[in-house]
Amino acid sequence: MGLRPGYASALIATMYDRRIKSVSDIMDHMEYSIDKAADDGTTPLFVELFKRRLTLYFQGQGHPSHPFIYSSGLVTEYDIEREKSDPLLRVQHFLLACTESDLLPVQSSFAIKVRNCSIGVNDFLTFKSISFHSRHSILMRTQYAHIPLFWMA
Amino acid sequence: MPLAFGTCSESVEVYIDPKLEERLMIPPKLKGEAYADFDIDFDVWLHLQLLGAKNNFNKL
Repeated sequence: MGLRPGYASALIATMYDRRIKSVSDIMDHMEYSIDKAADDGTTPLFVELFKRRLTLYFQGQGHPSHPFIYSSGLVTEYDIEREKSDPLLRVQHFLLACTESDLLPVQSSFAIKVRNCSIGVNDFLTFKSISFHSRHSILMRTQYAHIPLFWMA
Repeated sequence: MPLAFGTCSESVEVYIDPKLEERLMIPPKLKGEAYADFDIDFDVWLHLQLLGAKNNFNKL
């Protein structure tokens, strides 16, 4: 017995629904680690403060209300108004920057790794990543863990 | 603030503004009234990076 074409596509879309449904869909998959600390011992504090601030950013809704956002030319006033109450907008942008997709990875065990290491260390360039550089010999690197393509037979 | 947004095969490089970093390092209890300003500054800074990455992605 065959499936109607429309039914089959809906069934597959439901089975593999990878849209973000809550901020925790991203937050729960973020892993923080310190590869090399700064000599002044500030790295653990910096990571914790950065993590806290990043979490608060994710929990915000829509675009930040600030003249810089309006004048950036990166988003229209129409979109700002339309998306102002969207609780998932920021994590969707973050996921897109890290993975080039606004859909969650197929594997539920995926990880977005936030690591810090010395400037000049580029051992993750084979991966798509977003790097947060800071000046005291540290960069925060948010690395999307490599996930192999999944094929259905 | 140097920025370099990646393509599909490159990384997104985001440089934390030094002044923002200094303010990030101040523990929240000591930030006081200035903390609200810091919050919005950080949000705007990060949001612009992510919007830039998104726009760059959409151009591909």
